[in-house]
Amino acid sequence: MRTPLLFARHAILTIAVLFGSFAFVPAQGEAAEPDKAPPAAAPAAAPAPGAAPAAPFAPPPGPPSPVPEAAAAGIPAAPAPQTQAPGGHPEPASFPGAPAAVVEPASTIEVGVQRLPASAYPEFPIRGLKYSSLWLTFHGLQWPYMPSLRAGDRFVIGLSGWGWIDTSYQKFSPWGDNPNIQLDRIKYWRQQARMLLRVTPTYSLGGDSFIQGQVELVGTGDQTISRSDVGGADTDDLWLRAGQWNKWDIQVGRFEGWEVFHLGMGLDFNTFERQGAVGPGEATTPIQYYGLSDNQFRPGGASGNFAVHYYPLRILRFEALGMLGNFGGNPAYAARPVGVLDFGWLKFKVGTEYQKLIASQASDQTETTSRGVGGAVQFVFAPHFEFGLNAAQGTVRAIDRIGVLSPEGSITRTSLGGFANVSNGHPRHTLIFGVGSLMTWTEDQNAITPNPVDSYWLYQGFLAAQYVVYGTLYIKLVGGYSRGHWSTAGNEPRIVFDNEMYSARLRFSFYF
Amino acid sequence: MRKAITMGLVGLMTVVALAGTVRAEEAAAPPVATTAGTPPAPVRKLHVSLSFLPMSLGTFTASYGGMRIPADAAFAPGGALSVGYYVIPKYFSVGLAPQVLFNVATKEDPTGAGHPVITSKEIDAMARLVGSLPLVETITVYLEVLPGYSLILPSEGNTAKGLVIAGGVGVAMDLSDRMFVNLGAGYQRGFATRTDTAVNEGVTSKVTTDVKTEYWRVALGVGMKF
Repeated sequence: MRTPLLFARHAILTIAVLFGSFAFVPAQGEAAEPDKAPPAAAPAAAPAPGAAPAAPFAPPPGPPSPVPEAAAAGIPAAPAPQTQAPGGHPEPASFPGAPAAVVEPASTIEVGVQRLPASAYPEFPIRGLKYSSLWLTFHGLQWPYMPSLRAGDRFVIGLSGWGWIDTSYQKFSPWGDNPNIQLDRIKYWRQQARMLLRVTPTYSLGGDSFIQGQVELVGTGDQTISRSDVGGADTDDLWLRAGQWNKWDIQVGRFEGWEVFHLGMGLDFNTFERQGAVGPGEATTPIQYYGLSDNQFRPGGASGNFAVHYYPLRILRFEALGMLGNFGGNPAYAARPVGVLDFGWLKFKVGTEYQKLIASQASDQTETTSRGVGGAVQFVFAPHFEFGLNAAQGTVRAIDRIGVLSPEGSITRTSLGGFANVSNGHPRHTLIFGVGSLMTWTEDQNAITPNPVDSYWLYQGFLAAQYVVYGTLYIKLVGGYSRGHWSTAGNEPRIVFDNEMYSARLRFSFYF
Repeated sequence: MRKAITMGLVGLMTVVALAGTVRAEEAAAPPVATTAGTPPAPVRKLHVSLSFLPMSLGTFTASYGGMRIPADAAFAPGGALSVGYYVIPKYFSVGLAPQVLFNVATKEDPTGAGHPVITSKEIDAMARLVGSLPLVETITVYLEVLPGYSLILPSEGNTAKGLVIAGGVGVAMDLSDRMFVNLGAGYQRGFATRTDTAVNEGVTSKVTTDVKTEYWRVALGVGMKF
């Protein structure tokens, strides 16, 4: 009986030592009561980046000691002032044969674990209608925004994340001379899900300087897998960043570039309406929207991004993003500078990009060069209305193995789109309707007689309604319609066909 | 020239920034009105709205050479004007909701002969009966039934006429005391027929054929209460 008691005592002490090395820093403002305050639910109360905090930062009171008897068991009682909260000490030396008590070296900073507070999501001047699609983007602002609000260093591990579950229906309705038309006469249901935990260790060096890392640990339900399959995605973000809050930073790793082309409340990633009326029967004639998006999203394969962000004014931001690595074993590199002029109610975004993919074999002259330019203008008339317009054009120039231009693989892509969201602005029962349209044209460069140009277009539209429960649970219903038109002429006579797609999707999202 | 453009840009930015400051100061002003003693909102019984009707999924049925062929309908955008009056305030209203649909046709020639598709315009004169249920402040769900009479006017040929009925559910959202938007979905079916006059060996005869339309109905509207 004595052995289990001793074991239990030592186990408790060990756990106490482990946990005692953290001082649980209470979050600012509402987030100090996490059960009442969803992190992104109260941006209006969040201080703007760079603004003085509403109240002086009080040192964390420290949690009650999980093992008060530890002090009575011979733990040195007077650690240096900077040490962690009680409990962060070596084992007591009271048991037989134990070495003399060792005093833990004083830490230079406290360590906190913090559910990201509302202030971590910068809101200057205004991101968008609360809970809307535009509000869920950051327009280049540094986030999670975790400055030290008092003198001295601070190390905090921020926790946040989100997850969603989609249940959706899709039906195709093709017509025309598509030789693969039977493949398109389909309809199906799908449920897929994705949840991630975002861990953001942030070391604030006093003043505005910081070092920050972030990993997003992903659990995924299908989404047609990928990321080297077998279980699918494991991480989304995985980056390190250092700089000064609201002035500049350098970021490297796996992350997304700044958004230019905003799609609205629908056309989410990995959804039917995002794919549009491009079914299995169009596998050889693909088309998808171009929104300065060749290098916007996290790169796949063994490649990663590096970026410099510069904030000369509170309303003006720049990102110079580069990508380096390989896609499928072939070397690739890219650049994507973007600028954002953000008055809050009016936002201008513009960018350009360049990507080159070459063959790894020295004798193989295969080369694909993509270029593009795009811009967007967005208006926010809080609390009821926001809308935006987007335009982008990109080209792809393909060279084959022997160094000859491939006119059918060289294409020009043009997308125009717009969205509008309207909200009742109710603080507790927020309901948002969203509508959006997107038109994309693709043409190849095969304008050499007698082979005329292949020309495709794709329309994607949606209507959405979203209700938000307690500021964290988003329930969104999206109805989508898409039509694609293909006019292909690799061989005469020209083959012309169309396809339509109807979709409905119910998404439950949880932001924490 | 370059300097002038720069000066202009800076001036514009300053004006916009100042405007933003003014708005921020206004927003920071302490609230004056309180709910205590606020008179109840007036009961508004009349409502008028305009709706966009993107009829994207449906069936168009007609007779071709005596053969009745149902076929997938093409995307038919339309619009509706709705005027209603609350017989039971907040819960039940009656009114009129005429609507017009364009590009009423099949996606392709249903006979497979490669003839050009004839498109029509559909005008529906509909009554609108709406049962509403306010869920919370600013949000109301509704159920609607729209019986009416339909005219289908082809780009060439005779007009088809007949009954039409539609129904659906939706959500209405108040943006202010007077203004609201609504989003609904439902189903619409028309029972129009067309009578053609045929002359065969000097004998005149009339042939009546079906011209039926069915659509999944989506309505996005904005309106005012009076």
